[in-house]
Amino acid sequence: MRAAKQEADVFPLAALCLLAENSHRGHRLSTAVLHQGFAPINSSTATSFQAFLYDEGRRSRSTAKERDAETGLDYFGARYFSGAQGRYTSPDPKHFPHDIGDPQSWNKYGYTRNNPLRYTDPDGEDWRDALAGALNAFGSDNLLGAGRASGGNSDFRTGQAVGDAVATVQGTVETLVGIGGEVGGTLLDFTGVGALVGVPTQVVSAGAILQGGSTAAIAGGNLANAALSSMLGPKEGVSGGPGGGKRVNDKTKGAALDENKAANGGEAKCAFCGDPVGEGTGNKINYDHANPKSQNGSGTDVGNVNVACEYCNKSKGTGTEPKNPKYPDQQ
Amino acid sequence: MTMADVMVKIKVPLPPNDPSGGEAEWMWADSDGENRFIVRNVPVFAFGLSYGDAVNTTMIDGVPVFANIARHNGHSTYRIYTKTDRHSPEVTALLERLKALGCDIEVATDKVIAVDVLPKADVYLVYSALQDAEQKNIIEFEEGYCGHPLRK
Repeated sequence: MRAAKQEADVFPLAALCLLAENSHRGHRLSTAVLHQGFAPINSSTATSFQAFLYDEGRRSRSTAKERDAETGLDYFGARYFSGAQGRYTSPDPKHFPHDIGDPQSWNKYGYTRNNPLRYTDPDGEDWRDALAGALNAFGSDNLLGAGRASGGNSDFRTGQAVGDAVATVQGTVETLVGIGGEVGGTLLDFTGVGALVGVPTQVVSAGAILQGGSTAAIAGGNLANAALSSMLGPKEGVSGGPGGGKRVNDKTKGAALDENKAANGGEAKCAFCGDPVGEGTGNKINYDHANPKSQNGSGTDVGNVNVACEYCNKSKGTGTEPKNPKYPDQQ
Repeated sequence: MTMADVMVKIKVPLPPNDPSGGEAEWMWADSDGENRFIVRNVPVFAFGLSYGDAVNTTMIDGVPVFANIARHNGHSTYRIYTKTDRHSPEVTALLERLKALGCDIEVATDKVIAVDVLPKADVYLVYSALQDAEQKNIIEFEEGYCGHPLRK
């Protein structure tokens, strides 16, 4: 009975994740599959499904998050989630205050108050963001766009998209009802006596059309903007690979080397020994970060990356100059 | 205790015939266990890793050489190639905007600037700011690694 209850609790979230994740791959789903990610596979899981679930090449797991092959944890952005334990491995980084009368709020490790049936938390930080985003968007859309919050984390924006969608439907329905009222009111007007009811109906209906139309237009516009931004935005994971992110052309990519060449009469040279480096010289170029980011923070006037030969870079190590200079006389 | 006492340099090999002309990129890192390090620079040439990522290395000739990613840490990396002087008002304004959006900047050379998008920042707003500057022909930019959760 206990196992059955657990299955019921995890079913909807896992089902949504896997349906979204696998529908394009043509996988057949069964309830056995639906437990991966949020809870351990139970003993009755079919062998064939186990093979599918633990396919090494398949990295995407609970709520389509990437699973770390080494630790077995799912990466949610703000923190890692342990599917085996059904909880995050670290507390919610947002540290929102808990409510003394609400024990679930004391648990900073749980996934959405341990209620994945009702809530979602795509970025692993403060499950309330999505709800706040939905309420903000819905309210703003109904107030001609006033009070709409910009920015926010990904959960908040996801919630806003949901709020926009609901407001679009609400505005459309309101408009249709208003049009119906206008038609009905006009027909009543023709009856003469019915105009007593028809005229107020027409006035109210006109208001409904105005409110519904503007809400639907604003909400629909917000949805379209979000979709466009998503299409033009950053791409997940390593750039340059299939489906990867934006890269520059080879000429632009060689800017650092070109700068070095320009400063050395057209020939790339090691910043430490002065030997020519690069193609045809026998000296491979090793780019060297002179200082850690914390030591070379924002707005410094001096570039932090040197062009160096392999020898000098290795000899330099964590120092500022090569420990065993190639040409000691130069020192 | 100096910086050199607590940090090491790791070597991140670049692909053969990398358009940057380099064979490798050397970055500072904190030790995070045996042969594992936390990257403490914003990669300028290497793809697939960001500041703060934990990497496994192999010791070759006394130098820890990048082997693979042990754990990403939620940072994203972008690289700016300026078309005007780095100190021009346009570039300065862009860098200030990026900082305001929650980015750290590591100036690599006169024309190349690495941008570390901190986990708390909205990577979409950062991306939009970079796109805007590129459309105005102030910069070109590329994505080194996006470690932020993306909209589905």
